[in-house]
Amino acid sequence: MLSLISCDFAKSYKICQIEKDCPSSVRRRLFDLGFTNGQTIQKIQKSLLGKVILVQLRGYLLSIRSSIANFVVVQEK
Amino acid sequence: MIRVSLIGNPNTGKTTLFNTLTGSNEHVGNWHGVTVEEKAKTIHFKEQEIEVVDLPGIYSLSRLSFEEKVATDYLLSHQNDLVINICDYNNLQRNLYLTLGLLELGLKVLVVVNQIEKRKISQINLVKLEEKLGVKILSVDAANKESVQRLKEEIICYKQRQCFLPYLKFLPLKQAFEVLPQYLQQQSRIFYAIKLLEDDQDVKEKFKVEKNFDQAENVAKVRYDFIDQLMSECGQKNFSVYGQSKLDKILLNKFLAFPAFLLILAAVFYLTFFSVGAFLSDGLAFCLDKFVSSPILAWLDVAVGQSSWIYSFFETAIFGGVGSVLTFLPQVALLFIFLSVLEDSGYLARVAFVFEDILSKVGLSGKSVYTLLMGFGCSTSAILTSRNMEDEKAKIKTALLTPYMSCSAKFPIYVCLGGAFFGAGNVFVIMGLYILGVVVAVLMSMLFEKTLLKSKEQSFILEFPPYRRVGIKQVFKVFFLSCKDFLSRVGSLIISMNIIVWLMANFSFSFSYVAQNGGQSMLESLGVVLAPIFAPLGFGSWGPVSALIAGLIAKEVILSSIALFNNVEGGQTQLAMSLSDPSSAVYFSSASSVLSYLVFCLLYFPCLSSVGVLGKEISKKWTVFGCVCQFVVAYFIAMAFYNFAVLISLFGWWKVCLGFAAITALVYAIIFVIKRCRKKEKHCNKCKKCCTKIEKGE
Repeated sequence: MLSLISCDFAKSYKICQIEKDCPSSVRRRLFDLGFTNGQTIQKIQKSLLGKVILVQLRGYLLSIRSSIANFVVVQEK
Repeated sequence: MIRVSLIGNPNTGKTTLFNTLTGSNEHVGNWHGVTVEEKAKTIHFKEQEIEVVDLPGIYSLSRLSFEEKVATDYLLSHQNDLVINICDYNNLQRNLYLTLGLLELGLKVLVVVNQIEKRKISQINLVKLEEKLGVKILSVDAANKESVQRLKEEIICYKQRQCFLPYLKFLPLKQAFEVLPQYLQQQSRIFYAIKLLEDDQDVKEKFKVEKNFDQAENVAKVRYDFIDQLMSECGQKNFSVYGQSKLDKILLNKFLAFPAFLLILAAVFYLTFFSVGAFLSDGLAFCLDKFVSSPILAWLDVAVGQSSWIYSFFETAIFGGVGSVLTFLPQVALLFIFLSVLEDSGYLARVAFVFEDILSKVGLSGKSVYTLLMGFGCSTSAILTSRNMEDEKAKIKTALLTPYMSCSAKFPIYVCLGGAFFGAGNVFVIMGLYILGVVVAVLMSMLFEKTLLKSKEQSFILEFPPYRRVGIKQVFKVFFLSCKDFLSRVGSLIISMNIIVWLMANFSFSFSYVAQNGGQSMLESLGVVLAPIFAPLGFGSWGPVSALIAGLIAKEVILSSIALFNNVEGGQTQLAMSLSDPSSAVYFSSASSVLSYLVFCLLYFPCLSSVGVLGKEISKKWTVFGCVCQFVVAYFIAMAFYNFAVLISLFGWWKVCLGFAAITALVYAIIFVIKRCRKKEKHCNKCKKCCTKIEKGE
């Protein structure tokens, strides 16, 4: 169990949960975009200062802020 | 009449389909959130009236962002005969999530699968999917007229089928039904019940429900599980990831991203303003002079004579004023083409990713890059695009900073005025002005962030569009649209402004023709009153000041009024010569005063149409604040530039630089000493021992 921030690049992970202290609107947005339990996710790239990361899930790419990615708890597959 | 709404995920081609369906020319881009408001148009097909509404792109009906609010509220409040849900073939999984939302709402849905890319990265059996989902699915190429014709046929004879949403049984809908009022219809009951399960604040307030269901995760999960099941049953295969490209290895690379961006931008500006653009613009000026203005003036000379006011009107107001603006048409069109290519290719979304880090440091978001870059084209249309930002304060900041970007209307001023005084070095002056605009915008943003407009932590969730090749057709379309826009501006606003300015410059308040009867013209008497204010900036005579006043309407008018005041007929070279002639109205005594004038032009005020849009987008209060800010900033920066340049011309480069370095060092030393003293005080009062705690702010 670790957050999406601290996981390695180009390695597949499984989403365990979105933490409850994540603001509810952001949480719902993440669910809408497919951050559901058990979904496979991959970290592709991080920006210069590491404030934004690029992830791949459900066959598409998405860039999210690290502060939000921090709420995403993943598990090694 | 059949009412049809187009809805779908961002960047799936809704507007392209809308344009093909209705034959309109709405702006399309490879970027999410280009459409920000609903747009409607009625078409006739087989003796039926069809009203087509284009809604902004959304991921779900959650009402979390501005676009979602617009689209969801539209669907809830209007009677729709048919909703066309447009999906991207290569990314069906996530697109179908919205489809499920629409079906839950009980709408009549026709799913249109758009085949934007020729190269397919996934494979799926659509016939089987249609059967399983219970909704008609049509495969369409949104840009192709014949393909869209089939869609029109389908719209007319559409019949709702029985659709299945078997996953609803996994949700505790009963609990939600209990707290909902009885009068709701069956279908909207389901919609609102699901919203309650997701703990939607608006719906909770609407029905005065306090209970927390905490089912948001579960709702999304059962929907996606259903989609996954559908996908596997229909034999979906993915060959590669949507939006991924080898180009990203370079363009998103930590070290190469910035140089690549600057290189691309430099190439765009070089091609637009110096090589290709300048050549085309010179050619146009030559043709205009040779075939239009010279013959007409020669004819007028014979007909009414050179001293008549009619001759002077055509010579200065029409050919001199409007003509000098008109020659910049090729450059403006080129700039818009390049900006649209950058947007359509999908590169701008990457730029937002790359710049997010740095821009969040100064209080903007990565999405601001798009608005600010568009500001180089035209601030009015750029300000409109700031609307898709989530954080209100970041949106206000972005909109207020857009006018600092040097828009295409200001470019002619730099070329003419700068060219007259800096010669070949003008290239660097122009580049410097563009950079100055950006730098000032960044500094202002930092100031706003520290004081009035502190932005919240934003979510910044942005989908990466795939790179797309930009079609020749699209380039031509942008070219014609920008030309049309420019010509209609020149034809209406700028001509009428020029006529007014000409009247005010040639007639006195007692309406006598100044050139014949002598005396002060209206503008001269106004300018003379205001001119002393600008004396510290190096251009304290009535001519330049009156041009600035006229330029409040539109920046193009500045150059045309200068041409008009100096009685120049056509030709940039003649205009340039008249600027250094002490007898003309707009006369600059030195290069430093021209520099300060250019800096002031760059920053001083958004044009009238921008002010109008700003007022609509970010409230009147902020607009007034922004305009005052801009004026003050422009005044002091231009003054600083002027005085610095004068000092250099008096004492030489190195002495001035040395002096400034000494002063800065002194100021820093004083600040350092003061800080040191304060720290010591705190340390002694609090714990008398350790200062580590104080440094941490405890």
